[in-house]
Amino acid sequence: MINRTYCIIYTLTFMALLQMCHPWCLRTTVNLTTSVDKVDWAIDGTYLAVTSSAANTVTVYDTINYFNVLTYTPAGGTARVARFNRNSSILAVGVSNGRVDLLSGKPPFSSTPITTFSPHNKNTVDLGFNYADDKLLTCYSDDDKFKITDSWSLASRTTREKDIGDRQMACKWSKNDDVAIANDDKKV
Amino acid sequence: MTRIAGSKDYTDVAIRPTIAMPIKVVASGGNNNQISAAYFSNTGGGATVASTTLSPNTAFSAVVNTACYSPTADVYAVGGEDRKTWIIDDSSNTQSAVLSDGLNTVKNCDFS
Repeated sequence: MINRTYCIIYTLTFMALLQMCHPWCLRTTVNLTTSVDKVDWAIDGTYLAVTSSAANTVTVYDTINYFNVLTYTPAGGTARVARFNRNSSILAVGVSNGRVDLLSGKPPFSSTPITTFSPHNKNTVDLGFNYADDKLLTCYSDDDKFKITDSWSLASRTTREKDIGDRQMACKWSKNDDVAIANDDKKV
Repeated sequence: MTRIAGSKDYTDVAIRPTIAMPIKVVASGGNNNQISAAYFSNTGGGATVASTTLSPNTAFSAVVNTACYSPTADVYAVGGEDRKTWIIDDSSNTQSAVLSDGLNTVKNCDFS
């Protein structure tokens, strides 16, 4: 019993020293059978959402044991991106037909969306929630306009758009509500 | 609207999660074996402002696909066709660690 205790202490000490010396060297690998397009952590780090367009799935993993807690395939389109909102209560899935499917971001997970809406009818390439969590940014690989949906969680949500003159590759919010868009004209 | 220009399409962008100016944007994929980091001191209102691009690391041996910022804003990560994820110090824009997958291209990244 004493030897076992010492062994555990030595192991924990070794792990702590390893982490201090090489803080990036601890790695867990989750194997999928198709390529991954997007990954997104829940803000509290408890879940990881992995989007594979090739498999048309969004897979959510519990980051304590990396068990699969949800595999979601959207109806009528291909999953392009999935991101948690700012308090991790919602997982938004952007679909190739422009629809956004809102799923529960916490247990109990369900493959039945809480609600769906379509900011646009184009091919969603990226999406994201602003830091105040009241706006949803969506951008598209086959249209020049990106969309911002205000009050996205409410039935009374409204959508605005901005035409940037080019198709889009990726989009992100800044902390003060500016957006950055990578377009298909070699520019951000 | 302010723009960073590359020689090919950028594939991902990351914005430093700070409110204080300048806003820093890291973009990947716009140039072979490089990333772009630009600093914006003013945004919005249709204003055109100057940005500065730089190559934080010249050691990339292939196209960089993705960029992401840590929530604490002290480092950012990029990864790409060289099958590596590079952790880069935000203040110095120099490499602080490299994670090598060895077998597969890095397509996307995110910090917990």
